[in-house]
Amino acid sequence: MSRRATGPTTTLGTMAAPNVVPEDICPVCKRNRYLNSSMTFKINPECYHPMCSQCVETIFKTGPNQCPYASCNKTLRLKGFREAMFADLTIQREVDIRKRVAAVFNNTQDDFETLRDYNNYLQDVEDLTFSLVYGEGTERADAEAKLADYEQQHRAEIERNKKKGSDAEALRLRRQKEADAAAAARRAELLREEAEAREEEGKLNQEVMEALQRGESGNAAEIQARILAKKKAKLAKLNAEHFGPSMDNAGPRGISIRGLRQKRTGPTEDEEDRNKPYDPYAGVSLQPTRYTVQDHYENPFLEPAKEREDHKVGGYNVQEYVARAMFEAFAGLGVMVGEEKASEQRSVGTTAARDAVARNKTSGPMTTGRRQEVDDVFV
Amino acid sequence: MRFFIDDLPVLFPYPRVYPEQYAYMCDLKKTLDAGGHCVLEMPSGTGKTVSLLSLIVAYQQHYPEHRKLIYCSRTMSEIEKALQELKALMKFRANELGHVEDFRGLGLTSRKNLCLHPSVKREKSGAIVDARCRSLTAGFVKEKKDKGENVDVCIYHDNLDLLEPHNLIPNGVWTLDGLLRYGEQHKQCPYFTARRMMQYCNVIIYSYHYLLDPKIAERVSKEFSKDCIVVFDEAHNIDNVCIESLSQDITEDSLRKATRGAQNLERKIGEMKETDREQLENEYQKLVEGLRDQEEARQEDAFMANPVLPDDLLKEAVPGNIRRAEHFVAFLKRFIEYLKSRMKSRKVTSETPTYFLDHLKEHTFIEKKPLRFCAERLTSLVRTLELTNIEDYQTLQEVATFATLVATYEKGFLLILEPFESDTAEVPNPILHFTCLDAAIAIKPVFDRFSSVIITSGTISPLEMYPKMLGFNAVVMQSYTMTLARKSFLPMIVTRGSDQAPVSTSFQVRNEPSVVRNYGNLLTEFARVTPDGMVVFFPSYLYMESIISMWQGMGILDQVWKYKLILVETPDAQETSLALETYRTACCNGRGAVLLCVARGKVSEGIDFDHHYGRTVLCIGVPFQYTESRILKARLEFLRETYRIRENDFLSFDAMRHAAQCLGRVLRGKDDYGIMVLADRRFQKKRDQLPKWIEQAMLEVDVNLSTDMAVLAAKRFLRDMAQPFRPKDQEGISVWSIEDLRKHQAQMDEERILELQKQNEENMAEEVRRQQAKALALDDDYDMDEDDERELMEIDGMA
Repeated sequence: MSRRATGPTTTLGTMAAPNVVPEDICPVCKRNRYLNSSMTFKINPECYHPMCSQCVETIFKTGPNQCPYASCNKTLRLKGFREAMFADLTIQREVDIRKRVAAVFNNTQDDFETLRDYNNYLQDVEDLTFSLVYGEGTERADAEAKLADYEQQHRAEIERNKKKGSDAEALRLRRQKEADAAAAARRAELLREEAEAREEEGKLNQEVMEALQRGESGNAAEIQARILAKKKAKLAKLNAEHFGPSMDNAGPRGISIRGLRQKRTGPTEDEEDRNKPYDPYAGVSLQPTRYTVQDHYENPFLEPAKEREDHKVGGYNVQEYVARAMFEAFAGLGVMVGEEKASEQRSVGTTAARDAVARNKTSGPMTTGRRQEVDDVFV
Repeated sequence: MRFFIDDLPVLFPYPRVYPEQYAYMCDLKKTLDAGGHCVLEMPSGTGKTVSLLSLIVAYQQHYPEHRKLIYCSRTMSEIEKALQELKALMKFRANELGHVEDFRGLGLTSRKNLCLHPSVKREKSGAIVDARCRSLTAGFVKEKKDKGENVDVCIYHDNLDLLEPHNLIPNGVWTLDGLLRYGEQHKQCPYFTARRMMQYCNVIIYSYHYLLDPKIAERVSKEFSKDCIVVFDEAHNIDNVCIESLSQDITEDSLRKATRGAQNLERKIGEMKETDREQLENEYQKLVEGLRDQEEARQEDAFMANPVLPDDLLKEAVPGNIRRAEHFVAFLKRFIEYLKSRMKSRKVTSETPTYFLDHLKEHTFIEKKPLRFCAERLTSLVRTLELTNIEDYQTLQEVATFATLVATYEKGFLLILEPFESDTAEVPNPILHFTCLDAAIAIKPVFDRFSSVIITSGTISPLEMYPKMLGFNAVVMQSYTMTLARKSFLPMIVTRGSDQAPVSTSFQVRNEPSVVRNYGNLLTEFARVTPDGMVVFFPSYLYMESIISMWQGMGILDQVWKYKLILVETPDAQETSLALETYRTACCNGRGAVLLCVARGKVSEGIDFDHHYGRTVLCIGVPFQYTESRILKARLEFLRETYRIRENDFLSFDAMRHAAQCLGRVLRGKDDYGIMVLADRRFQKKRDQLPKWIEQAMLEVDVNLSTDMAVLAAKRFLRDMAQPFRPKDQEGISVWSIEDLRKHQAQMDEERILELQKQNEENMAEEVRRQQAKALALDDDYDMDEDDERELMEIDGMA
């Protein structure tokens, strides 16, 4: 685009006097800001000579013309003129060049193996930029050539990086927007709640007045004290609701989150059960609690079963065996008689269970006896 | 006086101790034992400093770890006072113990106060003293001297190198004056003596900033070990100190200076390229390796300070695009130009650092990462170029610091651009405020690094606000009341004038004639009944000026003039000090005076009106902050969003701590007395936010007074105070001798024993009950077992 543009700007390369946008007087027509407070200055990236917008209008309206600066023989067009962002036009020019360079050298740190490589790359780019900005004659021409070269060679890569960059940018923007929206919502919510609290307070005040008016039992002070106490309790509750969580978590977790949690605990257990997938064990966890089944146990007796094909072929699974052995070893541990006593009364509620107990009478002398007794309660 | 707290022998340099001092020490010890942070509030004038020092020194000397004490105070005079207390304490300890302990205590203050160099010390501005001192003492200056070049050096500084580096000054406590005298005698620099001996000290006393301001803390306070005990005295304003240390203002003027600095830098680089290319090349090589390798160079003679850099940043190499000196200067120029272009805007804007960085990147292609390294890179460059006239680069340094900060912290900061000074101003004078909103950021490294941080002050209520705002957990939070043998101060709240019209400085009514007149009457009445000195605080200069002119019109000042001289505080420090001097003279010679000052001014903090210098303090209006300030608004919003502190809560807390600070001015000890009047309708509801010791002394009848009643109460109080009071009356109540203390300890022990016993008994009872229950259960079990067995047998039989 403007690759040609920066080509012949040698006059600015040396930059003896700082080239700045004038404050008040247009260097071309000598108009003064004092007489025209809305005066703006424009530049053309061909030569970066500032002039007021009126000059631009009068000189270039009819078509391309020569730059009015005495030593400058560029041909400028109206289209190229714009306002400079920086007062120091050297910087303006540098930034314009950087824009061009950045469009070509757009690798990020992720594209490099090591940080050092990345830093070297950054420095190379900076060197190139410097040659473009401050270099003279051949140096800049070389740099130009290099830039063009690189662009030619790595076109695909540049495109890819560009896309990646814009994607990331879009994502970032979206995130930002979301965060802003959330913050705004939170703020609105807070304001609303505060207003509510205030209203509540007002209402309570009103109540006090009304109660006093009605002349409730007891003298005025008593009534006031009573209602005030009520009001305080209510207010304290309100306040606790508002600012309670700030004690436990100082983080900016808003009301919205608390509301969520409430919703989750809201439905009754039945409803929850209905929403869940069917579980034949009705929520009983079959995960062993007292031990964990290891992947491997030192047991020479089991080795062949693990390794030899002829053992495995029948579908014998060592893991299965181990799990069962462990289960049997631990089964019955943790059955406390004292606790049983309390819980049993509730647990054996159905007749089927009672039958089962009766059938099992022989298996354990102690428990069965007790169960017998417990069962009597239900008879 | 010598006593024990648990197993710790404490030597207290006075023959008597106040009960609250003892309680304070007990809580301190608890905190130190637990190894946590604490917030303690102790009334002013009850010997906070001495109890703190004597306990911590005892703790240091008794336990083998010898934890170092870092005592931070606010002003020079407070530092000097603490050093003197420490000195007296150590002398007392030496007397008591019979030998001088191996102990060193030092104070540190700026170069300006500690310089001995004949010409440098005559400079008036601190910055110039710093700069000149550096130009005489920097490392490369010495190298040049060694090479035989003719350069100026400071003989006081160079003499230090002849001494043993860890024994520059003998053991003992050195007050700042003492340090200066010793330096003069031995021809050694007191400032660098203190700086270098810091690691070998038991106690260091210096200003907050050496620990909180990240720019200084990095260099001065880096080498302290984790188990140091850090004390912030007079810490009621600590959150503001934290915020100020990380905030920055950038003006057009400073940018202009920074541009000049950058141009100078460019020129210097050009010169150096011609003469000493090697040096630049060396620096470049070092930067390729990373900042960590420069560690050895970050010594005391480092020229410019850097804001604290996160550790991971130090390990990383400087980004490639600012490694070369000329690249970096161009980078800086670009950044400055960008800031200038932002300054052109005539609209008030406020944006987050993230937004700022995005905008910056879009327009100047400056990435976040090199920006973060800005300050560090500049320091390195300045060192390489061996620049001595640092003041030229001061503003450039500021801009670089700003760059680093803005790129380092995403949260808790805000950039506010105010193009006009006030809303009505026509001529733009843009200021870019880079404000820190979160006090916790600056103080976080302190809490992270040291195991015990003690925050203490005379007025630090409500206590729970501080842990919340500064982001830490306190082990002990305690507020002590003042034990008094007689009621020696009278706090009152005046809500109405004599005509029953409410008084308030709230915005709507502050200029109403009735309010102004009632305040005027209050002033006249109290000027009439108060002996000697009287201090009046207003919420702002602006209001003070307007009300004084209105009083003048109403003839109120003429009436006051009959009883007292009228003196006014102004924003000018010199005028104020003159006023203070006159005030003191008038109080001393019996004419009496009234000083009109501002609740947030210099007088309200740090100037004591003890005894006859202040018998009444009158606080006219609640000293709220100026709420229209954009910075304050931003901070309030931040506090609300992050810490869930409501705007009004914070404003009221802030106002009340200033009010309490003002009230505390008149009471500086137990033999002192004074009247404290809060004159505003709104104080009635804010009563519970006053420090505990003031609130408890405030009677229920004194919270809703009209002027005439307040005057009556004051008269009665002053008549009581006029009765002879013998020091003996205090003994055993508000002052303990060693016997009283023992008695108290014994009582406490007894109580504890009783409590333990009670607890034990309860436990025992519980145990017995449980056992009984168990036995019962067991019995039941046995019974059942028998049954079981029988049944079983039956079953068996049946089977």
